[in-house]
Amino acid sequence: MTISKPDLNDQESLGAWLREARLAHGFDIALAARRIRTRPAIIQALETDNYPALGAPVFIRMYLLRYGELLGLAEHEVLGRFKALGIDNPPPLRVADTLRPQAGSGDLRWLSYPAALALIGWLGWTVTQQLPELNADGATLPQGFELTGINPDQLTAESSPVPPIMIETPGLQAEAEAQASNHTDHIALALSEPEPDTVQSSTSTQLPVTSSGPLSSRSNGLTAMGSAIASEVESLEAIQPPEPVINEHELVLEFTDECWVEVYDADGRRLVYALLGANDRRVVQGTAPFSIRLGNAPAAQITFNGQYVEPAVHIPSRGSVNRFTLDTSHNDAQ
Amino acid sequence: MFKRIRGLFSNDLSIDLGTANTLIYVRGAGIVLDEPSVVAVHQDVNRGGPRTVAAVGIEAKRMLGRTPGNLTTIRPLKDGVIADFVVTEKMLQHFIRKVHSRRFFNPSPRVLICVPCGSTQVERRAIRESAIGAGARETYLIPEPMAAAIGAGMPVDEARGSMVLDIGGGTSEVAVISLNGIVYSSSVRVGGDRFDDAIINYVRRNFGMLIGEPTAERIKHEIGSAYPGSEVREIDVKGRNLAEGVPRSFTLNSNEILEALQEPLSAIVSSVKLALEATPPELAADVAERGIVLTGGGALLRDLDKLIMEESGLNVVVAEDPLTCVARGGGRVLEMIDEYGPDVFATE
Repeated sequence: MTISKPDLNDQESLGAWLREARLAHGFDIALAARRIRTRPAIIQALETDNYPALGAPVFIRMYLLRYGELLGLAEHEVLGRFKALGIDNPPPLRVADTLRPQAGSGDLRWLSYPAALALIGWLGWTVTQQLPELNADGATLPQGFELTGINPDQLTAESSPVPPIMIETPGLQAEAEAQASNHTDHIALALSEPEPDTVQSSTSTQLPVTSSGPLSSRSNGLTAMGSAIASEVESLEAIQPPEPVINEHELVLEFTDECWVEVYDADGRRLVYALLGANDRRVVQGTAPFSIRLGNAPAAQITFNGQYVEPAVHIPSRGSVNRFTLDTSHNDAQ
Repeated sequence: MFKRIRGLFSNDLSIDLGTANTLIYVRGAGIVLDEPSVVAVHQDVNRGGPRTVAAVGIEAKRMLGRTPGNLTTIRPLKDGVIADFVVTEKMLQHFIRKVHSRRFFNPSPRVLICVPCGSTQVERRAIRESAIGAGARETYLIPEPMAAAIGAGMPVDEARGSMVLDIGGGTSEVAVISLNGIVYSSSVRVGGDRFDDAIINYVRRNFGMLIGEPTAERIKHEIGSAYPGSEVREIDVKGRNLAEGVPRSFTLNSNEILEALQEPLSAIVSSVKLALEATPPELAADVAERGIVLTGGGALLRDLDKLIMEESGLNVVVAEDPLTCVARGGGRVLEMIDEYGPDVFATE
């Protein structure tokens, strides 16, 4: 605590006034100190206006009152002179623990708000950078997929001519034309397949096309074929020409009833992964041996490299689900 | 969340929730409210409907002892702690709104409340809940002697002992403080209210007259004294004669009141002596040099400092403006809480 020493003006100082009063009473300092139950140093400090030595103003006030009472001075006059010194303000509060941080956490709390906003902004920017570009219709293509057979820019303008999608689907074209009258407003786009395991979930994307305007009027055949492709997209994988493989073998699957079919070749490629209906026929080519799973094996008829496979091979002894492997040894045995 | 928004439009308050008076200190504005802790409650006896607050503070105190059957004046605090939780909450709500006049939002201030150091955890929780119920956003509690010492301007942060005696309406607290902490404290449930009761009992016993609390308080203020002086003062009092049952007037003098106050005063002096006995020697030496500082409304009793000085052998001084010391000290603590967190000065 710091109490500045008051300036002495022309008038008699408080200390001098007290000293005069003491001398008038004939007290020495020791006697006066004993009378007011304090130390002589306190009396000396009071009489020399050495207030910093006396402590907080509340204690100075106490000493002055006691001393003034001893000397027969009016209380209000003593306190009035003391107040005139202007040192009666209470001492500033301080923390007693000097190791306590002087700047509390509350002072920096405001920094957390802009920091949080900056973090959110950075995260948003990062996510935006990671997202694929949107096409004009708002459809989003997953990463790793690309449009084939059509230029995406041509879909953005309704007035621009749309080239037909050229996909090799000889078995489905007639069926697609038959269904053309029932399916409109959608074009199914076959997508290239980045990984065999992810094809089932995202092999096609349907883009809405307005039914009015040059686009729709010019592409009746296109939409019909597209609708057919959409309904049979599963079979596209199977009939898409696989990469050239040396020692390819042919497997023909025919069904008399609905059956779930999975076919993998020796390279692990998934050749069929679909629910096929009655009278469906699926021809696949790949490297033998083929790993086959049939959900309704009694409904299947299998031809391997042109030779009919005996039902005993693929029909299980119990139930209808069977998993088995076909290799060239079947042909050799027969 | 909404309380935080409302907090932007509220002032931080330091509340001296006293048994007799409630004082509110606002940072930068000083003491903005000093009203009696009295609530007048209206209840329609015929219908048995809910109680409604009819008046709070000065208005309610004017009704004290003068109410009809459907009005009751309540002092919701007794001995420094809450006696009627609901009424205390209403009273606090009224006071908080009063110091936030002309505001669009209901105020939701941070509130520091001074509590007796002898209060139990249950009593402190009641005070805290009451303040939150009244709309406080955050509530801090601080022992009354600590707030009183700070308000009186004592250097509580120094490694030297300072003794403070805070005589309130319901309790008297004595504490030895050093390094921003309370080294020793004790609380006796004797205060201004007990002085009034003592005067009422003395008048009934010696004069056969019945007087009310406001009259007893007036006697205490005008001629009350704790130490025999050369001047004897007198006061004319009107009360009801117990034997005749009719109002009568009589005269009391300061020596009679001094005699009436002997019992509660000796309880306070005893607590001071006990505190001095329990104070560690180093701190006791500091107290012997610096003396004892009196705060609270009870310190205004004439010559109380002389009495304690005579009984303890130490210098005693009444703090400047002792009635507001606790509230002012709480206000300064609020500023420190902003800077150093709520654990400074043993706040809860």
